[in-house]
Amino acid sequence: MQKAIRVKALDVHYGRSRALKSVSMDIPERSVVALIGPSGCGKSTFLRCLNRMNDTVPGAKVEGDVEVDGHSVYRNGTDVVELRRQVGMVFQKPNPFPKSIRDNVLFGPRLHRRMDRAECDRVLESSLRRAAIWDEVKDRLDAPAMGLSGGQQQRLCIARALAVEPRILLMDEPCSALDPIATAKIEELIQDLKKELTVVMVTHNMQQAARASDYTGFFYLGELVEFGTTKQVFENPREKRTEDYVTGRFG
Amino acid sequence: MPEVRLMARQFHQDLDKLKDRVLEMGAKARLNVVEGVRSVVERDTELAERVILRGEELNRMDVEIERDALDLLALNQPVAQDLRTVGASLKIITYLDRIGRYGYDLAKMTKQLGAREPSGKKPVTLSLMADHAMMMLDAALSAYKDRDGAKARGVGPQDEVVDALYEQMFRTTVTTMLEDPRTITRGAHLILAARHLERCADNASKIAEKALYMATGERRLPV
Ligand SMILES: Nc1ncnc2c1ncn2[C@@H]1O[C@H](COP(=O)(O)OP(=O)(O)O)[C@@H](O)[C@H]1O
Ligand SMILES: [Mg+2]
Repeated sequence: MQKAIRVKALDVHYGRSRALKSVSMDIPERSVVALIGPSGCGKSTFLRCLNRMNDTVPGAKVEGDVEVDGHSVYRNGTDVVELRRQVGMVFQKPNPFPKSIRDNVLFGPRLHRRMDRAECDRVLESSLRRAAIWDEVKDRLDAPAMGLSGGQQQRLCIARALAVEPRILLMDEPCSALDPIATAKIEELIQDLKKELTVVMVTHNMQQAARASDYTGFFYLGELVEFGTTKQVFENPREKRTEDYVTGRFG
Repeated sequence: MPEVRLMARQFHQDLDKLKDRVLEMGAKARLNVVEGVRSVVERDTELAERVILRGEELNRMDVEIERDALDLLALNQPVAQDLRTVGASLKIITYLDRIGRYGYDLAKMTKQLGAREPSGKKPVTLSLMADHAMMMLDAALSAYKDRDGAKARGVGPQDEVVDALYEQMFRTTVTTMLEDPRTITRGAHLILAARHLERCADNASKIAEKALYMATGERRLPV
């Protein structure tokens, strides 16, 4: 299977403390990967390395390498803006801009290219449709995004990320601020998205990882303890630490 | 996440209880076979009566444990070892129900045969078969109890011994029936009894397979 992402011996330090310890992972294309593990084990740090968001974190030092579609993203001369177009990110707390729904979605595409009115409308509709929110907002595209419910805001943020046609979507606990119905919508949406792109998602919710992902990685104290198909990790984990964590026998 | 851990602890206690119930059911199924076969060998109709009176007990346990196991699944969505424990338990109670049923059928046989038929030789091979099948059952249940994969693996090969005893029982009984047609009714029943015990050993092997799966995640495919 084609690999969307190859992570090789990734090490991250924040100042003197080592947040990731030689993590390697191959992520197949068009799959959903769930990253699980206790708070502070390095999941978000790992995610941020995939599109070089750690560059902006003061004191962070990244060693090792990440390849996206066969290209090393840490080599000199990588166009970080283009990288982040290809590798989009959705955060835990929905963070729409204090602008209209339309402006939120079109923000990214307009940064990357000039678009006429017709193209704007096309990108707007298709992004909102792919994020499964079109029917809910099509009659109020110029209303403020802040007026939407939490779940709608999160899907709007996904639409915003999709508008620039990424190949990979990173999600850091995308549902932890949402109610169960809104969560179910996002999970359904993720299943649709994987037909076209690769999703890497951090989640605190073990059931969500089991339901929504094809592969699961378990992090502990900066180490990737186990990475395998979700079925294997939840039915028959290889490592005792994984077993203890997923069955709630931890600590 | 202290509340998560608290709930996990409650769940693990419930899971231990489920295992205890399965083991309790195992002891009852075992008793049925041991007493059932003794009633046949010793032509003890009183003992047979007692086994028959317990008839519904295993059935009830089967239903209750299944219900409890499904509740655990619905409420806790267990994973990994916990999931395998619930899954193995659900299968094991079916095998135990069958084993207990064979014991019950043996007791029924004793009552049917009554004292009318001529006795012939004591069918000690049946006792041997029962002993061996029950030794397999004990090992399988102890592997289940202790999550002992190595012990579980040891059970399957024992099945051959019971099979061989069955062949032997079949041959000698047929010979006796040919020599003395008055033993035919009893002989036919004894062959059936031996068949039941051979099936008990098969079911014990199945239990061991599930215990192995529970302990290691390993699945044995039929060869
Ligand atoms: N910006 C930062 N500066 C310093 N330390 C950080 C920073 N971000 C994360 N850390 C530390 O790195 C470790 C991993 O954190 P993080 O990747 O956020 O874990 P997780 O997402 O699994 O909860 C933690 O010990 C955390 O305190
Ligand atoms: Mg995090």
